[in-house]
Amino acid sequence: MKDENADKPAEFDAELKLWYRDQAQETPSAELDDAIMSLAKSTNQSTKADNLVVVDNSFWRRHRWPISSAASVMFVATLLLINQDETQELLSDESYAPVMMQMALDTQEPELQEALRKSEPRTMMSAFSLDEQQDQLQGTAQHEVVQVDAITEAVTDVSIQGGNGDVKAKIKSLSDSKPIKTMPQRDAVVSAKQAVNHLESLVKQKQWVEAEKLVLKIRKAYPQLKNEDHPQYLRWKTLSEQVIIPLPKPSVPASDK
Amino acid sequence: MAEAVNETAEADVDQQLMSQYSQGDTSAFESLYQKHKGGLYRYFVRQIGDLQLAEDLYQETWGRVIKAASSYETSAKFTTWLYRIAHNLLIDHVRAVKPVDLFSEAFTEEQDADSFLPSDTQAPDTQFEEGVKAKLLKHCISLLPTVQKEALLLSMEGGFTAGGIAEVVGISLEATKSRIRYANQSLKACVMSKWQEVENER
Repeated sequence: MKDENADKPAEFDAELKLWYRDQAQETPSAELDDAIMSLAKSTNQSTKADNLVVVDNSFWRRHRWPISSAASVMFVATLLLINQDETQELLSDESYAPVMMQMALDTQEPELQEALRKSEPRTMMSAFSLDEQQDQLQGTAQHEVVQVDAITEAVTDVSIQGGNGDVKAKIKSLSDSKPIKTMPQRDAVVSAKQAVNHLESLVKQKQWVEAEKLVLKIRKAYPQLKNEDHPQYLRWKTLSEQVIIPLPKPSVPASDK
Repeated sequence: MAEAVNETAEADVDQQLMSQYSQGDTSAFESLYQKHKGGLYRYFVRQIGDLQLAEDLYQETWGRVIKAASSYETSAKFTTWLYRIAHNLLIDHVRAVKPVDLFSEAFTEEQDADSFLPSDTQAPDTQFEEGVKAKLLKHCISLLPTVQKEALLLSMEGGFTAGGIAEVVGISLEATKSRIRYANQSLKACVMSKWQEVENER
Protein backbone atom coordinates (compact mmCIF):
# COMPACT_ATOMS: atom_id res chain seq x y z
CA MET A 1 0.00 0.00 0.00
CA LYS A 2 1.54 3.25 -1.14
CA ASP A 3 1.70 6.20 1.22
CA GLU A 4 -0.48 8.92 -0.25
CA ASN A 5 1.81 11.61 1.21
CA ALA A 6 4.98 10.10 -0.26
CA ASP A 7 5.30 12.70 -3.00
CA LYS A 8 4.84 15.67 -0.68
CA PRO A 9 7.90 17.47 0.74
CA ALA A 10 8.83 16.41 4.28
CA GLU A 11 8.66 19.76 6.00
CA PHE A 12 6.10 21.92 7.74
CA ASP A 13 4.17 24.60 5.93
CA ALA A 14 5.44 28.16 6.09
CA GLU A 15 2.03 29.16 7.41
CA LEU A 16 2.35 26.75 10.31
CA LYS A 17 5.83 28.05 11.03
CA LEU A 18 4.50 31.58 11.11
CA TRP A 19 1.71 30.67 13.51
CA TYR A 20 4.20 28.79 15.66
CA ARG A 21 6.46 31.87 15.92
CA ASP A 22 3.48 33.97 16.94
CA GLN A 23 2.94 31.87 20.04
CA ALA A 24 4.10 33.03 23.42
CA GLN A 25 7.74 31.91 23.65
CA GLU A 26 8.46 30.43 27.05
CA THR A 27 12.01 30.85 28.39
CA PRO A 28 13.74 29.47 31.47
CA SER A 29 13.68 31.55 34.60
CA ALA A 30 16.65 33.66 35.68
CA GLU A 31 17.26 31.31 38.64
CA LEU A 32 17.53 28.37 36.32
CA ASP A 33 19.95 30.26 34.09
CA ASP A 34 22.10 31.21 37.07
CA ALA A 35 22.14 27.66 38.37
CA ILE A 36 23.34 26.32 35.03
CA MET A 37 25.94 29.05 34.57
CA SER A 38 27.35 28.54 38.05
CA LEU A 39 27.53 24.80 37.39
CA ALA A 40 29.44 25.53 34.16
CA LYS A 41 31.91 27.79 35.97
CA SER A 42 32.54 25.42 38.89
CA THR A 43 32.98 22.40 36.61
CA ASN A 44 35.38 24.34 34.42
CA GLN A 45 37.57 25.25 37.41
CA SER A 46 37.65 21.69 38.73
CA THR A 47 38.48 20.37 35.26
CA LYS A 48 41.42 22.77 35.08
CA ALA A 49 42.71 21.42 38.38
CA ASP A 50 42.24 17.82 37.20
CA ASN A 51 44.12 18.46 33.98
CA LEU A 52 47.23 19.66 35.80
CA VAL A 53 49.61 16.71 35.42
CA VAL A 54 52.91 16.82 37.23
CA VAL A 55 55.58 15.14 35.14
CA ASP A 56 58.20 13.39 37.20
CA ASN A 57 61.50 14.32 35.58
CA SER A 58 63.94 12.66 37.97
CA PHE A 59 67.49 11.57 37.14
CA TRP A 60 66.52 7.87 37.02
CA ARG A 61 63.60 8.54 34.67
CA ARG A 62 65.64 10.71 32.31
CA HIS A 63 68.48 8.19 32.02
CA ARG A 64 66.47 5.01 32.40
CA TRP A 65 67.71 3.35 29.20
CA PRO A 66 71.49 3.81 29.74
CA ILE A 67 71.14 2.83 33.41
CA SER A 68 69.14 -0.30 32.71
CA SER A 69 71.52 -1.30 29.90
CA ALA A 70 74.57 -0.84 32.12
CA ALA A 71 72.94 -2.85 34.91
CA SER A 72 72.18 -5.68 32.49
CA VAL A 73 75.77 -5.75 31.21
CA MET A 74 77.12 -5.76 34.76
CA PHE A 75 74.82 -8.62 35.70
CA VAL A 76 75.81 -10.78 32.75
CA ALA A 77 79.52 -10.03 33.27
CA THR A 78 79.27 -10.98 36.95
CA LEU A 79 77.55 -14.23 36.08
CA LEU A 80 80.27 -15.08 33.57
CA LEU A 81 83.04 -14.27 36.06
CA ILE A 82 81.44 -16.38 38.78
CA ASN A 83 80.94 -19.37 36.51
CA GLN A 84 84.19 -18.99 34.60
CA ASP A 85 85.94 -22.05 36.10
CA GLU A 86 83.00 -24.38 35.54
CA THR A 87 82.65 -23.25 31.96
CA GLN A 88 86.30 -23.76 31.21
CA GLU A 89 86.33 -27.14 32.87
CA LEU A 90 83.35 -28.33 30.86
CA LEU A 91 84.86 -27.15 27.63
CA SER A 92 88.33 -28.43 28.43
CA ASP A 93 89.68 -31.64 26.93
CA GLU A 94 91.29 -32.47 30.25
CA SER A 95 88.05 -33.02 32.05
CA TYR A 96 88.93 -36.65 32.32
CA ALA A 97 92.12 -35.94 34.26
CA PRO A 98 90.65 -35.62 37.76
CA VAL A 99 88.89 -38.96 37.36
CA MET A 100 92.09 -40.54 36.22
CA MET A 101 94.00 -39.06 39.12
CA GLN A 102 91.43 -40.30 41.59
CA MET A 103 91.54 -43.79 40.08
CA ALA A 104 95.29 -43.80 40.27
CA LEU A 105 95.17 -42.89 43.90
CA ASP A 106 92.86 -45.81 44.61
CA THR A 107 95.42 -48.29 43.37
CA GLN A 108 98.36 -46.97 45.36
CA GLU A 109 99.65 -48.13 48.68
CA PRO A 110 98.11 -46.47 51.74
CA GLU A 111 101.33 -44.77 52.81
CA LEU A 112 101.86 -43.16 49.46
CA GLN A 113 98.23 -42.15 49.23
CA GLU A 114 98.45 -40.40 52.52
CA ALA A 115 101.63 -38.63 51.53
CA LEU A 116 100.08 -37.49 48.29
CA ARG A 117 96.89 -36.37 50.02
CA LYS A 118 98.96 -34.12 52.24
CA SER A 119 100.58 -32.53 49.24
CA GLU A 120 97.33 -32.31 47.26
CA PRO A 121 95.82 -29.16 48.80
CA ARG A 122 98.89 -27.17 47.99
CA THR A 123 99.06 -28.44 44.45
CA MET A 124 95.39 -27.81 43.88
CA MET A 125 95.70 -24.31 45.23
CA SER A 126 98.62 -23.66 42.99
CA ALA A 127 96.71 -25.06 40.03
CA PHE A 128 93.82 -22.69 40.74
CA SER A 129 96.16 -19.72 40.89
CA LEU A 130 97.74 -20.83 37.65
CA ASP A 131 94.39 -20.86 35.93
CA GLU A 132 93.79 -17.31 36.97
CA GLN A 133 97.17 -16.00 35.91
CA GLN A 134 97.90 -15.59 32.26
CA ASP A 135 101.65 -15.75 32.57
CA GLN A 136 102.37 -19.37 31.79
CA LEU A 137 106.07 -19.29 32.53
CA GLN A 138 105.67 -17.84 35.96
CA GLY A 139 102.95 -20.36 36.74
CA THR A 140 105.11 -23.27 35.68
CA ALA A 141 107.97 -22.16 37.89
CA GLN A 142 105.74 -21.81 40.88
CA HIS A 143 104.20 -25.20 40.18
CA GLU A 144 107.59 -26.86 40.15
CA VAL A 145 108.54 -25.42 43.47
CA VAL A 146 105.31 -26.52 45.10
CA GLN A 147 105.56 -29.97 43.57
CA VAL A 148 109.06 -30.50 44.88
CA ASP A 149 108.00 -29.30 48.31
CA ALA A 150 105.10 -31.70 48.37
CA ILE A 151 107.18 -34.69 47.42
CA THR A 152 109.89 -33.80 49.90
CA GLU A 153 107.33 -33.54 52.62
CA ALA A 154 105.84 -36.86 51.65
CA VAL A 155 109.27 -38.51 51.78
CA THR A 156 109.94 -37.00 55.18
CA ASP A 157 106.64 -38.20 56.55
CA VAL A 158 107.17 -41.68 55.33
CA SER A 159 110.73 -41.86 56.66
CA ILE A 160 109.61 -40.62 60.07
CA GLN A 161 107.05 -43.38 60.21
CA GLY A 162 109.74 -45.86 59.36
CA GLY A 163 108.49 -46.61 55.91
CA ASN A 164 110.17 -49.25 53.77
CA GLY A 165 112.45 -48.68 50.80
CA ASP A 166 109.84 -49.68 48.27
CA VAL A 167 107.73 -46.65 49.10
CA LYS A 168 110.76 -44.41 48.82
CA ALA A 169 111.53 -45.83 45.45
CA LYS A 170 107.99 -45.15 44.27
CA ILE A 171 108.18 -41.60 45.46
CA LYS A 172 111.52 -41.21 43.79
CA SER A 173 110.09 -42.46 40.55
CA LEU A 174 107.35 -39.86 40.89
CA SER A 175 109.83 -37.05 41.40
CA ASP A 176 112.05 -38.27 38.58
CA SER A 177 109.35 -38.36 35.94
CA LYS A 178 110.32 -35.72 33.39
CA PRO A 179 106.86 -34.63 32.08
CA ILE A 180 105.92 -33.23 35.46
CA LYS A 181 107.88 -30.07 34.79
CA THR A 182 106.19 -29.22 31.54
CA MET A 183 102.77 -30.86 31.74
CA PRO A 184 99.68 -29.44 33.41
CA GLN A 185 99.25 -29.87 37.13
CA ARG A 186 96.63 -32.63 37.04
CA ASP A 187 98.56 -34.85 34.63
CA ALA A 188 101.81 -34.30 36.45
CA VAL A 189 100.51 -35.89 39.61
CA VAL A 190 99.89 -39.20 37.92
CA SER A 191 103.00 -40.87 36.54
CA ALA A 192 103.17 -43.29 33.66
CA LYS A 193 103.58 -46.18 36.04
CA GLN A 194 100.49 -45.21 37.99
CA ALA A 195 98.52 -44.90 34.82
CA VAL A 196 99.61 -48.33 33.71
CA ASN A 197 98.76 -49.70 37.15
CA HIS A 198 95.29 -48.27 36.86
CA LEU A 199 94.93 -49.69 33.39
CA GLU A 200 95.93 -53.08 34.73
CA SER A 201 93.30 -52.92 37.44
CA LEU A 202 90.64 -52.00 34.88
CA VAL A 203 91.68 -54.94 32.72
CA LYS A 204 91.47 -57.24 35.72
CA GLN A 205 87.98 -55.97 36.43
CA LYS A 206 87.13 -56.34 32.72
CA GLN A 207 85.91 -52.75 32.45
CA TRP A 208 86.74 -52.60 28.78
CA VAL A 209 85.08 -49.31 27.94
CA GLU A 210 86.83 -47.42 30.70
CA ALA A 211 90.07 -49.19 29.93
CA GLU A 212 89.87 -48.23 26.26
CA LYS A 213 89.36 -44.58 27.18
CA LEU A 214 92.33 -44.79 29.54
CA VAL A 215 94.54 -46.34 26.86
CA LEU A 216 93.77 -43.49 24.50
CA LYS A 217 94.46 -40.99 27.23
CA ILE A 218 97.77 -42.63 28.20
CA ARG A 219 98.87 -42.70 24.56
CA LYS A 220 98.39 -38.97 24.42
CA ALA A 221 99.82 -38.16 27.82
CA TYR A 222 102.80 -40.56 27.90
CA PRO A 223 104.27 -40.97 24.42
CA GLN A 224 107.53 -42.12 26.04
CA LEU A 225 105.85 -45.48 26.78
CA LYS A 226 106.41 -46.39 23.13
CA ASN A 227 110.08 -46.39 23.82
CA GLU A 228 111.35 -49.91 24.45
CA ASP A 229 113.81 -48.62 27.03
CA HIS A 230 110.99 -47.40 29.26
CA PRO A 231 110.58 -49.64 32.33
CA GLN A 232 106.82 -49.86 31.83
CA TYR A 233 107.06 -50.60 28.11
CA LEU A 234 106.29 -54.29 28.28
CA ARG A 235 103.36 -53.94 30.69
CA TRP A 236 101.92 -51.07 28.68
CA LYS A 237 102.22 -52.99 25.42
CA THR A 238 100.58 -56.11 26.83
CA LEU A 239 97.74 -54.25 28.47
CA SER A 240 97.03 -51.92 25.58
CA GLU A 241 96.86 -54.84 23.16
CA GLN A 242 94.43 -56.56 25.48
CA VAL A 243 92.23 -53.50 25.68
CA ILE A 244 92.21 -52.34 22.08
CA ILE A 245 91.33 -55.83 20.81
CA PRO A 246 89.61 -57.48 23.72
CA LEU A 247 89.12 -61.04 22.69
CA PRO A 248 86.12 -62.43 24.48
CA LYS A 249 86.76 -65.94 25.60
CA PRO A 250 84.48 -68.28 23.71
CA SER A 251 82.22 -70.13 26.06
CA VAL A 252 82.46 -73.87 25.50
CA PRO A 253 79.24 -75.79 25.94
CA ALA A 254 79.30 -78.36 28.72
CA SER A 255 78.45 -81.11 26.31
CA ASP A 256 81.71 -80.48 24.37
CA LYS A 257 83.93 -80.77 27.43
CA MET B 1 21.50 26.97 -0.78
CA ALA B 2 22.01 30.11 1.28
CA GLU B 3 20.21 28.48 4.21
CA ALA B 4 22.53 25.49 4.07
CA VAL B 5 25.57 27.76 4.13
CA ASN B 6 24.12 29.63 7.10
CA GLU B 7 23.44 26.38 8.92
CA THR B 8 27.03 25.22 8.37
CA ALA B 9 28.37 28.53 9.62
CA GLU B 10 26.13 28.33 12.68
CA ALA B 11 27.33 24.81 13.38
CA ASP B 12 30.95 25.91 13.07
CA VAL B 13 30.33 28.74 15.53
CA ASP B 14 28.74 26.33 18.01
CA GLN B 15 31.63 23.92 17.78
CA GLN B 16 34.13 26.70 18.20
CA LEU B 17 32.32 27.98 21.28
CA MET B 18 32.22 24.49 22.72
CA SER B 19 35.92 23.90 22.17
CA GLN B 20 36.67 27.29 23.72
CA TYR B 21 34.64 26.33 26.76
CA SER B 22 36.45 23.00 27.05
CA GLN B 23 39.70 25.02 27.16
CA GLY B 24 38.38 27.06 30.07
CA ASP B 25 36.53 29.98 28.47
CA THR B 26 33.31 30.29 30.47
CA SER B 27 32.04 33.20 28.38
CA ALA B 28 31.98 30.88 25.35
CA PHE B 29 29.61 28.61 27.20
CA GLU B 30 27.46 31.55 28.15
CA SER B 31 27.13 32.51 24.49
CA LEU B 32 26.25 28.95 23.59
CA TYR B 33 23.70 28.75 26.37
CA GLN B 34 22.00 32.02 25.46
CA LYS B 35 21.73 30.84 21.87
CA HIS B 36 20.07 27.49 22.58
CA LYS B 37 18.35 27.85 25.93
CA GLY B 38 14.92 28.94 24.62
CA GLY B 39 14.56 26.19 22.05
CA LEU B 40 15.65 23.45 24.41
CA TYR B 41 13.45 24.76 27.19
CA ARG B 42 10.36 24.74 24.96
CA TYR B 43 11.30 21.29 23.65
CA PHE B 44 10.76 19.97 27.17
CA VAL B 45 7.94 22.23 28.33
CA ARG B 46 5.71 21.60 25.30
CA GLN B 47 6.13 17.84 25.49
CA ILE B 48 5.82 17.43 29.23
CA GLY B 49 2.81 18.72 31.12
CA ASP B 50 4.72 18.90 34.39
CA LEU B 51 6.68 22.17 34.36
CA GLN B 52 8.89 21.17 37.28
CA LEU B 53 9.88 17.91 35.59
CA ALA B 54 10.50 19.77 32.33
CA GLU B 55 12.83 22.18 34.10
CA ASP B 56 14.64 19.34 35.87
CA LEU B 57 15.25 17.59 32.58
CA TYR B 58 16.32 20.85 31.00
CA GLN B 59 18.88 21.45 33.78
CA GLU B 60 20.06 17.86 33.60
CA THR B 61 20.66 18.20 29.88
CA TRP B 62 22.88 21.23 30.33
CA GLY B 63 24.63 19.49 33.21
CA ARG B 64 25.56 16.63 30.93
CA VAL B 65 26.77 19.03 28.29
CA ILE B 66 29.00 20.73 30.85
CA LYS B 67 30.42 17.43 32.12
CA ALA B 68 31.09 16.10 28.65
CA ALA B 69 32.61 19.33 27.34
CA SER B 70 36.19 18.12 27.83
CA SER B 71 35.52 15.00 25.73
CA TYR B 72 33.35 16.71 23.13
CA GLU B 73 34.25 15.72 19.56
CA THR B 74 33.54 17.99 16.65
CA SER B 75 32.44 15.11 14.44
CA ALA B 76 28.75 15.82 15.16
CA LYS B 77 26.88 19.10 15.05
CA PHE B 78 26.49 20.66 18.48
CA THR B 79 22.71 20.96 18.19
CA THR B 80 22.42 17.31 17.15
CA TRP B 81 24.46 16.31 20.17
CA LEU B 82 22.50 18.61 22.51
CA TYR B 83 19.04 17.45 21.40
CA ARG B 84 20.12 13.83 21.39
CA ILE B 85 21.00 14.16 25.08
CA ALA B 86 17.60 15.80 25.65
CA HIS B 87 15.77 13.10 23.68
CA ASN B 88 17.49 10.31 25.64
CA LEU B 89 16.62 11.94 28.96
CA LEU B 90 13.03 12.32 27.86
CA ILE B 91 12.83 8.68 26.77
CA ASP B 92 14.24 7.55 30.11
CA HIS B 93 11.55 9.48 31.96
CA VAL B 94 8.83 8.27 29.63
CA ARG B 95 9.84 4.73 30.47
CA ALA B 96 9.92 5.49 34.19
CA VAL B 97 6.64 7.42 34.36
CA LYS B 98 3.30 6.54 32.87
CA PRO B 99 2.83 8.26 29.50
CA VAL B 100 -0.64 9.43 30.51
CA ASP B 101 0.75 11.32 33.49
CA LEU B 102 3.74 12.61 31.58
CA PHE B 103 2.10 13.97 28.47
CA SER B 104 -0.81 15.69 30.13
CA GLU B 105 -2.74 17.97 27.91
CA ALA B 106 -1.88 21.64 28.06
CA PHE B 107 -5.48 22.38 27.25
CA THR B 108 -8.45 20.58 28.71
CA GLU B 109 -11.42 19.45 26.74
CA GLU B 110 -13.54 21.94 28.64
CA GLN B 111 -11.89 24.79 26.82
CA ASP B 112 -14.12 26.16 24.10
CA ALA B 113 -13.50 28.42 21.12
CA ASP B 114 -14.03 31.59 23.21
CA SER B 115 -10.86 31.03 25.08
CA PHE B 116 -8.88 31.37 21.83
CA LEU B 117 -10.22 34.85 21.07
CA PRO B 118 -7.54 37.52 21.41
CA SER B 119 -7.97 40.07 24.13
CA ASP B 120 -7.13 42.98 21.83
CA THR B 121 -10.40 43.42 19.95
CA GLN B 122 -9.15 46.60 18.31
CA ALA B 123 -6.51 44.82 16.23
CA PRO B 124 -6.85 44.71 12.44
CA ASP B 125 -8.51 41.61 10.96
CA THR B 126 -5.35 39.97 9.62
CA GLN B 127 -3.46 40.38 12.85
CA PHE B 128 -6.51 39.17 14.71
CA GLU B 129 -6.75 36.08 12.54
CA GLU B 130 -3.02 35.25 12.91
CA GLY B 131 -3.18 35.70 16.64
CA VAL B 132 -6.17 33.41 16.96
CA LYS B 133 -4.63 30.80 14.71
CA ALA B 134 -1.39 30.87 16.74
CA LYS B 135 -3.37 30.12 19.87
CA LEU B 136 -5.32 27.44 18.04
CA LEU B 137 -2.06 25.91 16.83
CA LYS B 138 -0.79 25.64 20.39
CA HIS B 139 -3.90 23.70 21.28
CA CYS B 140 -3.64 21.52 18.20
CA ILE B 141 0.03 20.71 18.94
CA SER B 142 -0.97 19.39 22.33
CA LEU B 143 -3.35 16.99 20.60
CA LEU B 144 -0.64 15.51 18.37
CA PRO B 145 0.78 12.04 19.04
CA THR B 146 4.03 12.19 21.02
CA VAL B 147 6.37 11.19 18.19
CA GLN B 148 4.82 13.71 15.78
CA LYS B 149 4.94 16.41 18.43
CA GLU B 150 8.64 15.74 18.99
CA ALA B 151 9.34 15.93 15.27
CA LEU B 152 7.53 19.28 15.10
CA LEU B 153 9.40 20.71 18.08
CA LEU B 154 12.76 19.57 16.75
CA SER B 155 11.98 21.21 13.45
CA MET B 156 10.61 24.44 14.88
CA GLU B 157 12.92 24.90 17.89
CA GLY B 158 16.07 23.09 16.84
CA GLY B 159 15.84 24.05 13.18
CA PHE B 160 16.45 20.44 12.12
CA THR B 161 15.66 19.01 8.70
CA ALA B 162 14.16 15.55 8.34
CA GLY B 163 17.66 14.04 8.28
CA GLY B 164 18.62 15.87 11.45
CA ILE B 165 15.49 14.76 13.25
CA ALA B 166 16.13 11.17 12.21
CA GLU B 167 19.64 11.43 13.63
CA VAL B 168 18.49 12.87 16.95
CA VAL B 169 15.58 10.49 17.45
CA GLY B 170 17.40 7.48 16.06
CA ILE B 171 14.91 6.38 13.44
CA SER B 172 15.01 6.06 9.67
CA LEU B 173 14.68 9.06 7.40
CA GLU B 174 11.53 7.70 5.83
CA ALA B 175 9.84 7.27 9.19
CA THR B 176 10.80 10.82 10.10
CA LYS B 177 9.41 12.23 6.86
CA SER B 178 6.22 10.32 7.41
CA ARG B 179 5.86 11.76 10.93
CA ILE B 180 6.44 15.28 9.62
CA ARG B 181 3.84 14.88 6.85
CA TYR B 182 1.19 13.51 9.18
CA ALA B 183 1.89 16.19 11.79
CA ASN B 184 1.74 18.93 9.17
CA GLN B 185 -1.53 17.60 7.80
CA SER B 186 -3.11 17.12 11.22
CA LEU B 187 -2.13 20.56 12.48
CA LYS B 188 -3.46 22.37 9.43
CA ALA B 189 -6.73 20.47 9.57
CA CYS B 190 -7.04 21.08 13.30
CA VAL B 191 -6.31 24.81 13.08
CA MET B 192 -8.73 25.32 10.15
CA SER B 193 -11.45 23.40 11.89
CA LYS B 194 -11.03 25.39 15.10
CA TRP B 195 -10.81 28.64 13.14
CA GLN B 196 -14.08 27.82 11.43
CA GLU B 197 -15.67 27.38 14.84
CA VAL B 198 -14.34 30.76 15.93
CA GLU B 199 -15.67 32.47 12.82
CA ASN B 200 -19.07 30.87 13.25
CA GLU B 201 -19.27 32.21 16.76
CA ARG B 202 -18.34 35.75 15.67
